[in-house]
Amino acid sequence: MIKLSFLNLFRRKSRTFLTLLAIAVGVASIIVLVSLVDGVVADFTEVFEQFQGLIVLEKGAADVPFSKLDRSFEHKLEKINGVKVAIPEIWVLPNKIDGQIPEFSLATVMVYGLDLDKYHVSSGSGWIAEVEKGSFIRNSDTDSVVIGKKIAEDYDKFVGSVLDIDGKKYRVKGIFAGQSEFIEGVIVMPLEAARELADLDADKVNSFTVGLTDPSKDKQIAEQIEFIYSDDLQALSMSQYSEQFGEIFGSLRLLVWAIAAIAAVVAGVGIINTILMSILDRTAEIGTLKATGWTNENVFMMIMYEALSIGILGGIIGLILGFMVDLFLASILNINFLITVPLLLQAFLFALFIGLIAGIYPAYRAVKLDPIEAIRSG
Amino acid sequence: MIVAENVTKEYKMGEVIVRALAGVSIKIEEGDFVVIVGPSGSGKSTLMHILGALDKPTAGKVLIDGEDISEMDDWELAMLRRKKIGFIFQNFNLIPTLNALENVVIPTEPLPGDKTKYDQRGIELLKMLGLGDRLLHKPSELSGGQRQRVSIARSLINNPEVIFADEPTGNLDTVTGNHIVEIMRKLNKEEKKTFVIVTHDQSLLDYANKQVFIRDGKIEKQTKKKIIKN
Ligand SMILES: Nc1ncnc2c1ncn2[C@@H]1O[C@H](COP(=O)(O)OP(=O)(O)OP(=O)(O)O)[C@@H](O)[C@H]1O
Ligand SMILES: [Mg+2]
Repeated sequence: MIKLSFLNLFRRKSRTFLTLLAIAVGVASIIVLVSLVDGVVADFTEVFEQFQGLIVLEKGAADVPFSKLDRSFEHKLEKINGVKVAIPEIWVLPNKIDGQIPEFSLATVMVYGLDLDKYHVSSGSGWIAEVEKGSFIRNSDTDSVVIGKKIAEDYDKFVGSVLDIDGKKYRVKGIFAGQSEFIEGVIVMPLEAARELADLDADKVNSFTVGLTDPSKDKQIAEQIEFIYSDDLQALSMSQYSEQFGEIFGSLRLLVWAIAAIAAVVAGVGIINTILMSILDRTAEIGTLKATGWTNENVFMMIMYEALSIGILGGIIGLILGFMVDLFLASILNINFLITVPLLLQAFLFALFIGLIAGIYPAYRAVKLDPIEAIRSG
Repeated sequence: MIVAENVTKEYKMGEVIVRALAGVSIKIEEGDFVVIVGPSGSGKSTLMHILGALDKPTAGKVLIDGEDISEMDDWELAMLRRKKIGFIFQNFNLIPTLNALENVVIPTEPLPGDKTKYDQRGIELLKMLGLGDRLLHKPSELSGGQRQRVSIARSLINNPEVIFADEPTGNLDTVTGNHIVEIMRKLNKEEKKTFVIVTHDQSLLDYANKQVFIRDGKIEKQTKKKIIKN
C-alpha cells in the first residue's frame, strides 16, 4: 500500500513537485531563520559568559552608550560589601575608521575606553580577550590601542600599524582574539583617550564594570546597588543581561515560527489540493479497490500515506536546502548559524505534521466516494 | 449462493424518481454460469452491483450465503466482497502505475501476513491465463485482451466463490472477446467458480447454463438450459 501511495505521487510529477517545493521552502526557511537567530544568541551569550560581574549604568539608560555617570560612583561602588573593583568605562561608536564609515553589522566597531591599570590590577575578568599578537597597553599609552582580530582583518592592521579613528591617529600595540565577532570588533584604549573621542566631561563616564569577590552573588549585589542608589543607578548582572537578551531573541524566534506557520498553511493547502486532484483523477481506481474488498480504513490509510510521503519528502528536501543555504550564507556573510539537532528534528516533524493534517480531508473525501459512481466514471 | 427477492432500486434525481430495478427475483447457485442480457439502461449493471454486495437495494432482499446485505455496514460489505466476490469490468480498471502482477495482487494489499504467498498465487494465475511472460508489463504495454486477462486474474486472487463481470467483452474485438469468455467458462468448469456475466451481447448466451433477459428493470425471461458452447 505504501508503494502504491508513493507511486501515486509521481503520476502528476509537476504537481507533486510544486507541492514538495512549497514544503521544502517552508522547512528550509525555518532552519535558516532559526539557526540565524540561535547563532546570534549563542555569540552574545558567549560574550556574556566570559564576564562574571555587573555592569552599572545610569538609571533608565537603554544601553552603555546612552548612559552618563559621575566618576565619583567609582569609590562609592567600591565601598559596597562584596564589590572587589569598579572599573570606569567609556564607549564610543566611531564615525570613521581610516577615513571610512564603518560598515554597519551585528558586530559593529566599538571603541572601549577603560581604566586599564585598574583592569590589570584586578587581573581582568576576562572581558577583554587574550592578546594574540603584540602586547597589552597601560593608561600611559595614550596614543595606543589594542584591537580585535576582526578589525585587524577588515582594516588590514598589524602590530605597529597606525589606525585612524575620527581623524586621530593611534598605534596598534596588540591584537586580540575573542570567541565571537562582537568582541573582535572592539578597539581598546585608555579611559582618558576614549574621553577625548567621546567628547565627554572630565568627571563623567558611561558605565562601570564591577568585579565581585563572589561572582555567584551577582544578582544580590546588583539589587543592593539599585536599592542604595535607587535614583541614579541600574545594575545588571551579566546573567540578567543575557537573560534579557535571550528573551528578546526568544520572541524573535517565535516570530520566525509564526512566519513558518503561515508557510505551513500555504503548503498544507497545496497538499490538500494536490491530493484532491489526484483522487479526482483516480475515482475509478479507488472504486475498484473498494469493489475488490478494500475497506474504508484501507482507502483512508492509502491517502494518508500519500500526504505523509509528501510531508516526509518535502521535509527531507527542506532540511538539505536549509543546510545548504546556511552554508552558503555563512561563507559569504561571515555569520555564525547554529544548526542544532532539535531544530532539524522540529523542522522535519513540522513538515510531517503538515502532511498528516493536510491528508485528513482528502482521505475522508476518498472514503466518501461511492464505489458504484466511481466505477461508472471509469 | 445468492438469492435476490423482489429487489427494487430507485434513484432520486431531484423531483424525479428513476426506477432502475422494479422487483427482480433471481437465484444464483454454486457452479452457475449466468449470462444476463438486456438493452442499454435496462438495469443490468445495477442488478450486478446489488448482487455483488457493492450496493444495497431500495426494497427487497439480497441474501449472500444466507446473510442479508441490507443489514450490513460498509465494513462488513467490504469483508464479504473480499472473501467471496470478484469483479471484472468493461474498462478493466487497472492501475496504470502498477505492473500486471502488482495489479493482480492489489486486493490482497490490506491483508496481514506474508505477501510472497499472494505474489506466488498472482504469478500462477497470470501463467494460467497465458501471461507468464508479461508479469512486469504495465497496463499500457498490454493489449486489450491481455488487460482483461489481468483483471480476471485480479478477480481470482482472493479465491472468491462468485465472479461478476460487467460487459467483459465490451471493449474487445469478437475473437478476443470469445477467448475471454472461454477462459471464464474454463474456470467455471475446472475450478468450479460461479460466474455472473452482464452484457448486451446476445452471443454470450450460448455459454450460459442460466439465461436472464432483463428490460426496464424487470426480468422478462429466465431460462435454465444445457450449455451449448464450451
Ligand atoms: N446514480 C444514478 N442516478 C440516477 N439514475 C441512475 C443511476 N445509476 C443508474 N441509473 C439509471 O438506472 C437505469 C439502469 O442503469 P444501468 O447502468 O443498470 O443500466 P445498464 O443495463 O447497465 O445499461 P448499459 O448497458 O448501458 O450499461 C438507467 O436508466 C440509468 O440511467
Ligand atoms: Mg451497464
